[in-house]
Amino acid sequence: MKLLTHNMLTSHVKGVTKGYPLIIKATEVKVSELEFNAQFVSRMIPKLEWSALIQAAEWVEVIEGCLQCPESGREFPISKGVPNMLLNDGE
Amino acid sequence: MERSMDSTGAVRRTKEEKKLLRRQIKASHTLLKHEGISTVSHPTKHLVVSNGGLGNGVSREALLEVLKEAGTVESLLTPPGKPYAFVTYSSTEAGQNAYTLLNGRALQCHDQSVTLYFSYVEKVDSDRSASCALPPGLSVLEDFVSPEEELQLLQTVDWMPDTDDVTVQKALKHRRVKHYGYEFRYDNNNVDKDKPLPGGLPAECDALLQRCLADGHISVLPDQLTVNQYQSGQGIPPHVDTHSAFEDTILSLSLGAKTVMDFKHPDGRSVAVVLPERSLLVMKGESRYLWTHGITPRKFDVVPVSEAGGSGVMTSDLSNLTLSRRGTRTSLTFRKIRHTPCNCAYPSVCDSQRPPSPPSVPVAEGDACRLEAQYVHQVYEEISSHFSSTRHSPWPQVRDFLLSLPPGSILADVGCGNGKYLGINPEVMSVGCDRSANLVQICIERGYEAFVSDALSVPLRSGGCDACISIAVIHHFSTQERRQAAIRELVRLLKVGGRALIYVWAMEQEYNNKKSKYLKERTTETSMESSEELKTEENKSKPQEEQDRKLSSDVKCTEDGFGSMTQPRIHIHTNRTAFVSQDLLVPWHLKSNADKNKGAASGSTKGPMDNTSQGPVFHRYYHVFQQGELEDMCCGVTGVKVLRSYHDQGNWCVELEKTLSNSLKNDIA
Repeated sequence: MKLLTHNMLTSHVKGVTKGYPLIIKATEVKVSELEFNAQFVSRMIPKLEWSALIQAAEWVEVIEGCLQCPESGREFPISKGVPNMLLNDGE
Repeated sequence: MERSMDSTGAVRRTKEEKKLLRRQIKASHTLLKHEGISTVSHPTKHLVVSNGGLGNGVSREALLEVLKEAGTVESLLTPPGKPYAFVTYSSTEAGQNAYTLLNGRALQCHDQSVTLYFSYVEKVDSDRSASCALPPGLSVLEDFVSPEEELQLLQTVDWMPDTDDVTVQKALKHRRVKHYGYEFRYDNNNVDKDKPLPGGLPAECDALLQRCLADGHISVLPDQLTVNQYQSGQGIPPHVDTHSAFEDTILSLSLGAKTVMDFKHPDGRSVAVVLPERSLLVMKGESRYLWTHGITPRKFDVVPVSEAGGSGVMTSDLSNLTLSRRGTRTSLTFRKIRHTPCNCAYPSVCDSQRPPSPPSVPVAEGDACRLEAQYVHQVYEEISSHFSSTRHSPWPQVRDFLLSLPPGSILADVGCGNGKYLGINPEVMSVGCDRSANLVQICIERGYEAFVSDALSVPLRSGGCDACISIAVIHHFSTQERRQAAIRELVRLLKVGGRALIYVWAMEQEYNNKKSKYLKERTTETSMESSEELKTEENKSKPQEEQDRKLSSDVKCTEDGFGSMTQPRIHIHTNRTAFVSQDLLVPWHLKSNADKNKGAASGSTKGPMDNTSQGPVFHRYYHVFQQGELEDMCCGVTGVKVLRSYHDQGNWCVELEKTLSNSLKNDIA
């Protein structure tokens, strides 16, 4: 999961009103070298939640860990880079 | 016909003669219409004798006696089960003689009288006497037990009113049965595997079973015995012994009298096999799993004239058949109880390899969730690797939509599968999600952004997406409410002015007189459901009822049957055929080699792994959409307008634009 995805993700636990941004708890991260694409970045910036991006910036790509709902505390596991956002029945 | 009638010399026919002529013409029409036998009007030495067939209960001997009155008979063909026979005289004169002399002759056979009608034929079609082989895996071992053993075994089966508790005895509608070892239940065509009957098999059977073992007919001793007693005129409907109940080899010993057992392949091939008294029938492999076997209830069988008690197929030589009166036959059927699901190579007739009873169309939310969990989520999880290997080419019109998005757009692919659309437009920030963790894993391995989530609750902030796609996803929701909720969720993700493209499978696989790829493509693998190509019998379109009947076992066809179901069941679709209803279970034949990474998880929708080429069959739930249904559903969602609606290769497609902002709980913009 990359930061751009994190910027889009929100908690969808029932009853939660402030499920954003998700807290990143990473045990394994990866830094991927990318060529700087000024055009892409300039197009993305207006679409992003800036505060969330700043908060997440210390993490790069999360391989293992979890995302936590800031309100309910519900943790969504990230395993092999796959965030599992599935809720259980009634959640 | 006229000319030959003139040869009788009677210009003015009596009432009787006219009646005879009418009947005779009718008989020759029937032959042409139902049997493809063309009669000719000029005299020949070959004649077809209507009503003079084994199928009418006319024995060969009785017929021959009559035929001889007209001249020297060169040959007589008596096809089994047919109401006619072919006679060839030594000369045309003799043939003509038979025609005039014997037409309308009444023949007394057993308890009934039949009237013979003669017509000339050009020649006797020798194809009609084509031989056929025994079904693969079938053998009949003659004189397997001695007359002494036979007597002893018959005495062992005590048909007295049942007082002991080691066996179960029942008088069925058409025969008597008795069970040892385990009771075969005719209500579910299976055995209670955890309720063995005390006493096991009678000790009197030991010797013959040991002989079977020593001769290699079986590799393990049977533990279930069903004794059937058939009076003359009784039979058993065609059936395949329940796959999940018994292991491969089935032994059946015929005592007291011979009979003829009919074997039928699902493709229509039929072989009648004589089971002589004291013979052992061994059914293995294809003959045990795929062919039905049954005994037609009748009092006479058509058997070879050579009467030496010979076994085997009796359709090989038509000039050599006659009738044999049935006696009381007792059969001892030995089977081995199966404790693991059947993994035969014939899934079309295997109860272990298809859902035991398709679920009904759900109404309540809870039922819908359970149905989708079992028939969608679980299935995709298990077939993910094989499924992914069949999903590589993007559909052109979806690709066009993606390429039309401005650079820097944010795209959500809800139900992204293996991510085949996530990399189409590299100028777009694409995020995919899918219910199947295995499929999302494939996306991640390909370097795409994706996460696991449900399409009814996508954890993306509202109004954050410039575009959404939902390709072949919404048809997996099993109620109208859930299908519409999935569309509402897509719309929630869109910003105002954002567009969504939705594809669902169409009920109409033929549109504007063009068949969809799904119907057309039977070999190539480019269309949506292409990997579901079946290479087995199942591929031939068969009504469900017929499949059920094929699966039925023992007396199921007559004793209980499928008519008693009251709940409407979801139809099991036959791949590559038109849809017959909107709610379907679509089979997926898993190719084992494509699924090496598969876990050991097992569900009731799944058959066991197979050691032959045929993998297990899974069933996915689909609701196929009728024309206008998707569009109507989209129009029912507030804040959107339908930009276009079209049919694309058997799918209904809608492109939406979000027109109004929705302020929902997750809306942070």
